[in-house]
Parts: sequence; structure tokens; C-alpha cells
Amino acid sequence: MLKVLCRDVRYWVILGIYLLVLIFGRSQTGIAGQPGEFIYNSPFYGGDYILAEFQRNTVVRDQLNSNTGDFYRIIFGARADQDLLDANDVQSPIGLSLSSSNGQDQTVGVFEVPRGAGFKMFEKIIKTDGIFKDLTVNRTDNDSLRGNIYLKNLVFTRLNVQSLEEAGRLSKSLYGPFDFTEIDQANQNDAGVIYDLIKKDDIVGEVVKANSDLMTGVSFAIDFFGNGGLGNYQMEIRKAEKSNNGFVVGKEILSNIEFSSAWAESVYHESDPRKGNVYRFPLTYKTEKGKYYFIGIKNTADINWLNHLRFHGSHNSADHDGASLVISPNGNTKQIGDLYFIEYGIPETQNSLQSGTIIQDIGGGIGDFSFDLKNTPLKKLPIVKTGENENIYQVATGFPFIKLALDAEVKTEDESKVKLYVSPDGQNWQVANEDLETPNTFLTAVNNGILSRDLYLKVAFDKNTKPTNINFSTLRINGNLSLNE
Amino acid sequence: MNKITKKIQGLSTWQINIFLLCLGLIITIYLNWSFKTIAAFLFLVWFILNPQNSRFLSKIVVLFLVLTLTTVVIGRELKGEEMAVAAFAFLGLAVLVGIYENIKVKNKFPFIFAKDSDRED
Repeated sequence: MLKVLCRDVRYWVILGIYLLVLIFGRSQTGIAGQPGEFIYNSPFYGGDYILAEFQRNTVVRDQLNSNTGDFYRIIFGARADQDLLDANDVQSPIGLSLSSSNGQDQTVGVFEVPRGAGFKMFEKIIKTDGIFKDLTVNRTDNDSLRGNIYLKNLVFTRLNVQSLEEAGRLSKSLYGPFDFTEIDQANQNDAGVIYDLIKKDDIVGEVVKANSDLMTGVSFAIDFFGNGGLGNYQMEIRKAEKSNNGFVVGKEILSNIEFSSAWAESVYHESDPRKGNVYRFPLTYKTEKGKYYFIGIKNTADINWLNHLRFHGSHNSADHDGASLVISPNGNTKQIGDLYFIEYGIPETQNSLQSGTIIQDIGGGIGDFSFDLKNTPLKKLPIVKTGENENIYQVATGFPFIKLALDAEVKTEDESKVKLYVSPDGQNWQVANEDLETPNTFLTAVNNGILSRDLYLKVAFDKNTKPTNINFSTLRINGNLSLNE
Repeated sequence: MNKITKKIQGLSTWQINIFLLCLGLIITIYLNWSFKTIAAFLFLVWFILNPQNSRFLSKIVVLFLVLTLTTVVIGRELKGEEMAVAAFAFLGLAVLVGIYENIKVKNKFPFIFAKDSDRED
């Protein structure tokens, strides 16, 4: 044998290459069966779909790409409108099926969708027996076509398993909080304007007693009188304490956002026309259950009698534990009627994942990670640290990551240019590749996160022209996690 | 045993090449590589066993460039990008082989590349 190999030195070169491949080939591929090709061979992360009232079915066309004999997981969140004619009708069943271009069908299953405001997440693993492109959602209960059915976060992922036994051993998927319709505290009585914010640096707001562990936003009913005032207002949250004479509001600002009247009108105004002049502000804070907090808007804008904010509410109708206050710059507080407000909150989840996150066990110790900002309640990523010329954001991955692909677009109110950096540890930053044709749009991959359970994002800007209202308008992160770490 | 040894020694060059390619195929399948990666790897092995000149490789580059253009024209940009990557890889290989060929010619016919001052009249 040796004599044969000695005929040509190239045989030794090839055997040497084979040896190296055997030693390093497995770790280079990363995932058995999915050699790091997730960017082009990505799962289908679908959007939101509505099965409208009296509509029997809806088809998600040309989005799936299944192979015969492979295993796939389908995940989706669903809810149905209340049946106004039959209060006992608490569920609306839907059937899911796959179909191919040549007319072949395969049933996925029937799912009992709860009626009401809250979404329920469903997941099912199937072995496909064809090349399917379409997903059909149909009402299986033909007698009851009352109310819309809403689907969101539809995900279709190929699994790295070869048998039903292996598929059965996969862990259930993990989700960040996905139901953002929960109201923590509210006074939704709107009897008209009860307060005009015309004094400089006055703060108007509401004291609430937190019943949940995370405040996800707050709504006020406001008129932007005239142009609403020039410059930025500041919305802030502070601690408050109950005393004999009412409430004492602390001086420390726990979390805040700035907004101009134009920005609020275009971004924060509720899209539902029935909600009129209600604005939902993306102020988030990790609250403590049972503690009092003051949420208010500080008059830092340039206002006058003709251009200012007018707050809606009612007089002495609130049935919650709190008060509507105006705080003047010298610290004096004055109680006004009851402001219209809604404080949204979600109970703390068992994991640390942010909303918009789905982690799937796809087999072989590999997890599929997906995060989409559009599936978060506020479409906004909270800032964890802010500097002179940078904002730092954090996305929890739950597990160490092998490779993540990131697709982001940063929006600033004045359309100034920013740079994006990514890092697995918040220390060593890597510049994200920018799309040269579309400013502030980035597409990049991060590889070295095997020691990290978080992905850090840094938006850097020119400190002399600090842009206002920096926010991600698009942020999608997909990739593979190591579940064995 | 002697019979096997004799048979192995009697293997022709193309039989050994096929054996090495099959061995490569088995290893890459065992490692669960994707079809595209296996094809690229086996091409590399085949290329080491049967070196081609840079002209041949340049023809492959042209082929992939035409495929890139075609796929982009018919609206398959992602495939086009893959074709362009393949064209770039072959271009790199062609350049390396071209440099190697150049060095070989230089060693074989040093007088062609010699400077005028080095030439003996």
C-alpha cells in the first residue's frame, strides 16, 4: 500500500487533507445536517394573518419549502374575537394543512383557538410526505363563523431529526412574553379636557400601583393643541409613596423617553380609530409588584397658550389605587381630576427572554433562535446604557450562540446617519455591514457568542449632532444556539 | 495476503484516484456536510489529482459569470449571488495556477525572462 502511495506525493497531500477534515470537519460544520447555511436556508418566520369574519379559510402562499420525509415544526400564536351572539362559545377551532403546487395535501392538525383578547401559542411537529409550498388555515367549525381569528408569529422550521423517537425527545419551544394586551391599571373614562399643560417644567401624570413585574407602556388621551409646542417633551417614571396627605413622588427618574408632538402623532398615536386621541408611549420599566409609581409628562417643550398639550380625563371617577398629579418645578404637588390613562404590564416570565423571541430545539443540541422587533409590544428595544455618542441595547439569547444573522434598520427623527456595532459581550465590538444603497440599514453576522447569552447592539452617532429619537424600525435576529452549554 | 498486496500494487493511477475520491465522499457524508460543500471539496481533490491549466479554470469562471447574469436576469438574485461566489472562487484558483505556471515557465526558460544586462552575447 505504501509503495502505491509513494508513487505520487499528491496522494499524501490528499490523505493529509482527509486527516485534517476528520479532525476539524465536524466543528467547522457546526450543525449536523445544517452546515451553517441558515442565512440562505432559513426557516420561514412569517408574519401576522387574519381569518376575517365569515371567511372560511386563508392561504399563506409560496412561503414554505419542505422536503419529502423531513421533520418540521409549526409554531403560531392565535386568538379569536369574542362571539357576541353566544357568550358560551369560548373557542373557535381552526385546521392547518399543507399543500403543494401539484394538489397534494397534508393535514397538520386542528387547534382550539381561545376567544378573547389574549393569544395562545401552539406548536406541532410533523413529518412531511411531499414538497409543500402553501399553508392553509381554515375554520373547522362551519356553523360558527362569528368573529375574526388572528394568527401571529407563524414559524415553520426544518428539524435536525431523522425519526419520530428523536422528534419526541425535542424540548418544547421557549417564548418571550407574547401577550401585550394585558392592562395593569387604567382609568378609561374620558369626559373631556381636564388639564392644560402650559407651565414650563411642570409634570402632569398618574400614580399607579403596579400589579405586574414589567411595565410595557402607558397611554394617555391627549390633544396636541395648535402645533402641540415645539421641541421635546419628556415622559418619565419615578417612585411614589402613599402618605396621609396623598402621595409623595421621588426625585429620581427611573426611566424616561423624549418625544416631540410630531413624533408622537406619527409613531405613538393608536392606529385604532375608536381610540381617538389616545397615544401609547413606549415607556418600559421593571416594576415591583405592590409598589407605587408616578408616570408623567414633563413640559420641557417650547409652549404657549396657542400651542400646548391638553389632557383628557374625568372628575373623581377612578376606581384604582392612585391619583392624578401636577408637580411644579419647586416640588409642590397638586391633585387634579382623574386622567385618562392605561398602564400596560405583563407578569414576569420563567425565562429572561424578551418579547418577540422564539427558541426552538431543532435536534442535535442545536437551538434555532429568532427575534423580531415587530413582534414586541412597543416595536422598540429598551436602551440599557446611553453615552455621549452611543446607545447600547441588549437582546437576550437565552443560550450561548453559534452564529446569529442580524438585519436592522435604525431610524432617527432628523434622518442623521448612525453606525451599528454588535458584540457578544458588550466589550469587543464588531462593525455591522451597512447597506450602501439604504442609509442606516445593516446586515451582518456574529459568530463568537459561545461564551455569551446576550447579544449587544451599539448605535453610535456624532455627539455634536446627537440625533433625537433613535430607534430600530426593523430588527430581525436569526441563528443557531448551542443548547448543551 | 500476498495476492491482495499484489493487487494493490497493480492498481492503475485512475483506480487510485477513484478510490481517493470515494474515500473523500464517505468522509464528507459521515461528517454530514451539505451537497454543495461535498461537491466543492471533491472538486478540489479531483483538481489536485488532475491539475488543469489556468486557461481551463478561466473558462469555468466565464461559465459561472454567464450563469450569474442569467440567474439575476430571471429574478433569482440569491442563486446569482451563489454563482458569483463560485466564479470568484474559480478566479482565485485560476490566478494561483497561473502564477504557478508562470514560475514553472520561468524556471524552464530562464533566458526569456532574463534582463538585457544579464544576457551573454
